[in-house]
Amino acid sequence: MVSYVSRLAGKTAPHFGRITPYNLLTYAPNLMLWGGAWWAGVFVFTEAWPKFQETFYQKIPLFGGHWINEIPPEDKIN
Amino acid sequence: MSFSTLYRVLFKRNSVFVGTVLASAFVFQASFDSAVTKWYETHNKGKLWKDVKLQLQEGGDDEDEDEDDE
Repeated sequence: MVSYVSRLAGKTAPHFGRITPYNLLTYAPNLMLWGGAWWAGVFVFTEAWPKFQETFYQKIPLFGGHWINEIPPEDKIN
Repeated sequence: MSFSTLYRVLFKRNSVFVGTVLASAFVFQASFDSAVTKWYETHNKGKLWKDVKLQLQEGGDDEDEDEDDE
């Protein structure tokens, strides 16, 4: 008896647009480096933000003193 | 460091290049600010509030007394 194949027995791999788990894995090292670059960018653009200065930048060893600006209490506005 | 090494380390991957630019920008903006402030304060030594304040604390009352006499 002859059995015909009416269509290809194939499955579509899971994907989101052109992104598949496999090519995401191959992109992973590059994406991690972009993550590092993104953090450097965050550092650059929040450098003057007091909250960031207090919580992060003042704690940088050797270099953190740049963000410490102590005003004597008698010179403060309020 | 030869140019080929420089290329391999810094410019080959754009993510590394952009990251290096941003990281050095972070370091540069802080150190440039420090350097300019340091220069400004040595250039204007004696005219800054922190110096004037000390002068006023030492002999600031004299001026007030002079004004009272006149």
